[in-house]
Amino acid sequence: MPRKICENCNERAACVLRYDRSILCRECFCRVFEEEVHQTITKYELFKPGQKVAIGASGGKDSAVLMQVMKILNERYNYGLTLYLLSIDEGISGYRDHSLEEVKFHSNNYGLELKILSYKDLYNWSMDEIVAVAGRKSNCTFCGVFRRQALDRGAWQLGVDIVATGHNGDDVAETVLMNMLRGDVGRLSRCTAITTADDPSGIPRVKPLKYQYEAEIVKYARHSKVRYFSTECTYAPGAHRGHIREYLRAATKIRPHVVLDIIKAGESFEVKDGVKLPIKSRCTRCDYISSQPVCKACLLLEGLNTGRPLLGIGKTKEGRVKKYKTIKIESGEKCGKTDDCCSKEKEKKCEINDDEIETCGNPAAGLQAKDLEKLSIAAEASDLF
Amino acid sequence: MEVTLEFCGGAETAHNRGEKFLTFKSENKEPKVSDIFAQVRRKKLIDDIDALIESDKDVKPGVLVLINDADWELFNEAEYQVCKNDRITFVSTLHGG
Repeated sequence: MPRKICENCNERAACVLRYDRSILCRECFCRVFEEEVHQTITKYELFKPGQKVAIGASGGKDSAVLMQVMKILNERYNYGLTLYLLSIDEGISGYRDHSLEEVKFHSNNYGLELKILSYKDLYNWSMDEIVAVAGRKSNCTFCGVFRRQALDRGAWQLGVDIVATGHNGDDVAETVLMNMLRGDVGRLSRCTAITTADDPSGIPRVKPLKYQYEAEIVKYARHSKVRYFSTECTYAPGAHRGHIREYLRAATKIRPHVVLDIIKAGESFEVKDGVKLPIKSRCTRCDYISSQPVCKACLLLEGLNTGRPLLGIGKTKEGRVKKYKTIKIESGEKCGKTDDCCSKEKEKKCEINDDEIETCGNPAAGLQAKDLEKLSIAAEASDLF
Repeated sequence: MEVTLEFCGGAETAHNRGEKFLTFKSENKEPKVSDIFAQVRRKKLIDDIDALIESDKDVKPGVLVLINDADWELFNEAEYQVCKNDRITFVSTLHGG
C-alpha cells in the first residue's frame, strides 16, 4: 500500500493521523503540536517575560513532553522564562522511586535545576504507609490533597512565580465527568480553569497542555524521542478515575472530538444564583485557603496521626476503619434488662473498637468474655480494601 | 513469514513481564494484521492479551498501534497486509503522566 503524503509539507510520508483527521509526517506533527501549545500559552497569557517557572515533573509522559516543549518554545519565541523542575516523591515503592530516575535524567539532559520534596519529609507519612492504615479505597484523595500542598511548598522554596503541570485534555475532560457524577458543583465550575491558584496570595498553577490529546502527547514523545517512565501507579487499579477514563477512551474512539467538546462544555458552566457554594475562608490551623474551619490536608493528617485514618474521607464520623464481629446468640437467651433485647435476633453484627473485647457494644446484652469463643471477628473487607 | 511485535509505553507489562519484542512465524504466508491478532490469541503468544487486543479487528481503547512508526489508521488498521520486516508496535497511553 503506498504511503500517504503529509498534508502540510506535501513531501514526506505521513505517520500520524490526528484527532481532527489531518495527516502529517513526523516533523510536521511535532511542529504543529508545539505550535498548538504556543497558541494556548499566548492566547491565555500563561506567562510573563522574566518569570521563574517550576515544571511539575513526575518522570511520566505528560510532564516529560511539557518539559521538552517548554524548553523549545522558550527558546524559539523568547518567552524569557527561567525553567526549573519540581518533583514530588509520594513514597510509592516500585512506582515513584523509578520515575524519579527519569526526572534526574531530564534534569541533567535539559540542564534544569531539580527540587524533590517527599511526603515523608513534609508530613511524616509516605503513601505506602498511608495505604497500609487507610486502605485502598480513598488513597487518591490523600495523594491529591497532599500533592497540591507539596507543590505549593516546593514552589515557594524554589522561589518561582508560577508552576506548570502536565495535565492534558483527557485529564481535564475526565475531571469534568467525575465532578458531574459527584454533583460537586463548586469543583465543576472551577476544574476547567487553565490557571488555578488555591490561595490568592499563593503561587498560581497553569496547564499549558490543557488542549492536547493524551494519545498525541504519547505520539509526540515517540516521534520527538522524549524519554519517560510508563508504569501505572501501584494504587491505580480500582481507582474511580479509571472507570471514567475507560468510558472516555471508548467515547473518543467513536467521535474523536469528544475530549475538546467536554472541556468546552465545562468551561461554559455557570452556577445559578441561589445555588449554595462553599465559601472561601482560611484554615484555622495552617492558614491555607479552605472552605472549612480546618483544611483537608490538616484534617487528613490529624486522622492519620491519631489512628483515625478515614477522618476527612467521610466514611465514619470518628474516622476509624470499621471492624465488625458477628455474634451468634442462642435463642431463648435474654439479658433480661429490656423486652426488646438482642436475643430476638439469631445473629447480630456489632461494631467493635480496637480495644474493645469484652462486650459487643450493646450494653443491654451483657455478654460475658467467655462468649468470645463463639465470636468471629471479621474486618469489614470492603471498607479496608 | 517472520513477524516482529514491539511493546512500548507501558505495553511491555502485557507480555512476559517486560519484554520489548516478540518474534514468531505467522501461520499465513501473507497475513493481515487481523490474522496476526487471531494467531496471537489462539496460541497465547502474549501473556495478558486482553490488556492490548480486544478482538481480531480492534485494540483496547487507549492502545496505539504503529506500523513502522506510523499510525495503523493510515493503513486500514487490521486489514493491512503485513510485509516482510514490518514492525508492529503497541504503545499504551493508559498510565499517569
